[in-house]
Amino acid sequence: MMMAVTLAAAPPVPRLRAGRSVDPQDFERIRTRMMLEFCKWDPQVGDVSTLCPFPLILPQSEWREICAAAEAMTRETLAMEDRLLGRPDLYAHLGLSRPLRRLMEHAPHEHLTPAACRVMRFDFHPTPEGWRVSEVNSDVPGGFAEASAFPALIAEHVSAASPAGDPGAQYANLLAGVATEQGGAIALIAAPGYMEDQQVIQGLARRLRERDVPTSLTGPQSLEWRGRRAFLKHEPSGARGGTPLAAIVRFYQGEWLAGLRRSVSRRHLFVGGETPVANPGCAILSESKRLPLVWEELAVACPTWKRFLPDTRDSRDVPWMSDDGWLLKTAFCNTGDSVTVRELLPDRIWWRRRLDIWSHPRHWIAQRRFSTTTVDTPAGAMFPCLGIYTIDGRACGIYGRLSSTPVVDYSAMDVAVLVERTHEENQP
Amino acid sequence: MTRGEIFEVWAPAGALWSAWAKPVLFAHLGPRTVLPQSPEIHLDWAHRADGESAVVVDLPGASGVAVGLHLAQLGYRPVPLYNACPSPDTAAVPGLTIVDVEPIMAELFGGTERLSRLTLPPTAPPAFLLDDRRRYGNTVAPAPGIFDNRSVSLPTDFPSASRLLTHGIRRVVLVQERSTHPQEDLSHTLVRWQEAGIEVLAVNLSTPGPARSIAVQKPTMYRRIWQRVLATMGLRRNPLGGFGGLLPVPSTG
Repeated sequence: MMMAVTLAAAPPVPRLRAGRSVDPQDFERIRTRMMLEFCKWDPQVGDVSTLCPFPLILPQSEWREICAAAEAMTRETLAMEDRLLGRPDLYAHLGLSRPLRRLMEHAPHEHLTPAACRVMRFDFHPTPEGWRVSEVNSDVPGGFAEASAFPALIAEHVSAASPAGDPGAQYANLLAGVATEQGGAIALIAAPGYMEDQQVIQGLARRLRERDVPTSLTGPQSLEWRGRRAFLKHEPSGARGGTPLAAIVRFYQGEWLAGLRRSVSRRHLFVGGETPVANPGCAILSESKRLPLVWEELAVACPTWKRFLPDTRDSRDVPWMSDDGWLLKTAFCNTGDSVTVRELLPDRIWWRRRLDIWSHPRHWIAQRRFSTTTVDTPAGAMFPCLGIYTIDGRACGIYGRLSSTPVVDYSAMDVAVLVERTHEENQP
Repeated sequence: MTRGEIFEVWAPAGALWSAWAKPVLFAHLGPRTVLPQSPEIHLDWAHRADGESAVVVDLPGASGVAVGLHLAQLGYRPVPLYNACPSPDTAAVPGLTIVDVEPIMAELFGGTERLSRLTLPPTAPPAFLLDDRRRYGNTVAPAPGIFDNRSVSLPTDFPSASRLLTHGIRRVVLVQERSTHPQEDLSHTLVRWQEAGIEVLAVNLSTPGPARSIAVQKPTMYRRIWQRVLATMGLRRNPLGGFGGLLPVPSTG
């Protein structure tokens, strides 16, 4: 008797290609518009011009696949966050600092500060085994101008492909809705001294003002909590703020908020506040790259995460020093700068990182390396990373980056990712 | 002139060093800007561009732009590296910032026509312009309600030593108001250049005389892990000075 054997089909290799470079003069105009109109104020990092003159183009089917995955992972992430709120015993394991744990330990006993809306960005990489996700930027994802205005400007020079969405507009629309509902201004807080952060809140503030929403660009030390509502300590005129804020955009990462001086009140950004915050401080729980280490304890189904995330372990549980198949990164690795791969680091840095990993194992995770499929581009073979935004659970755009090395860090180039239009969309 | 036209004068397409010009002040230039009085500065140290020298002008406020315009007449390409936001558009009272950049913007605006009249070759050597008050401010102490627009200068704000050398730059002249010792954040860049074989000279404007060669001291934590990370992590030292405790890493994820 013959037995039917079903072989699992190998996942298809993601299809992603580079388009042609935009004419240099046209691209110069795009670059200038990005700088002067859309708050892209760091277009050059050292010798690297960070805006790519060519797009990446994604078939509709691939876009649909990663949209669905990002939306599913958003649901799973929120379910895990919800479960974690009642498990302060796991916070140290997630790598949360002591000040952060002190802030978050109130979570089981107090109501959570409401979310004005919830923004996440999932980093997808094409590999020979299909798409992989290296992490979610759940706390303070940036890149809105690069994912909104830039693809729109590049798309004007590309036929048969369109931007995947406009996450900047989507974010501003939702915040404007909150402002209308609550009344009052929206405060946007960011760390001083860092143009890469300032440009994000300035760009968002511009969009909000276009929607007739009053804004204030400030820092956490300017917030005053009366009862559970946030006010500005001083209006720009110097007068004491008298109107409660409609919402707060927090572009100031959670672990650093927790590390501010005690005189800076920030607890209600996390718990117990009534002024909506985007993202609320509890996002720090899922920002931890150590989250996969507690999946089983949370007893939350996360099949999509398990499908897309490479094996992730505590550094003490894997032979990362002898096996180059593992990379390490910090639990709160925001810009990719702490990604540690032996073959990609000078010896002196590798040794210092080793020391740090040994000394502070809870600050790090080990993740199975995967082989990213390169894309042939006009600038040579490059490693792509597609950051898929979800805002309030819906996928709405792509922040594309290209790197000449497998690690995407601060010096990666921003690339417009466009989606092929369907046959129907191409009809006049 | 539009913002785009003004920016094109200061960072013309095709000029070798335009890509490094920081756009933030140009993005805020508007009709409110007025022409200030250019401060008088002693300039007998400055010589015609020889193709082998670049200049880093680290002077307070608008005086850096004024020196940059003078250097343009000597054949240098002024490259504004001012990287602080002005008072947000929402501020009811402009100027409530820790670093007052309005005079710089006014000088950039006012100097545009003068610069546009010069015919600089695309390969003109660079004169990088910085505000020496970027880390500490000049107007008011940090406080709630004051927009904190302080900034630091990073090596990634400049071309690498190899890029400079490739284009024939063999020496760099640092111009400061009261000292020949560079500020700590700028030292990280200058030491890198010096280690790569670029001679660093310095001019102290309060002491008339020619530029003199200096040995830039390695700053605290030089190359320890990575200067950018250090500057941004503020683990041991706040690069902006005494306020605010630790300076966080950029939140951009």
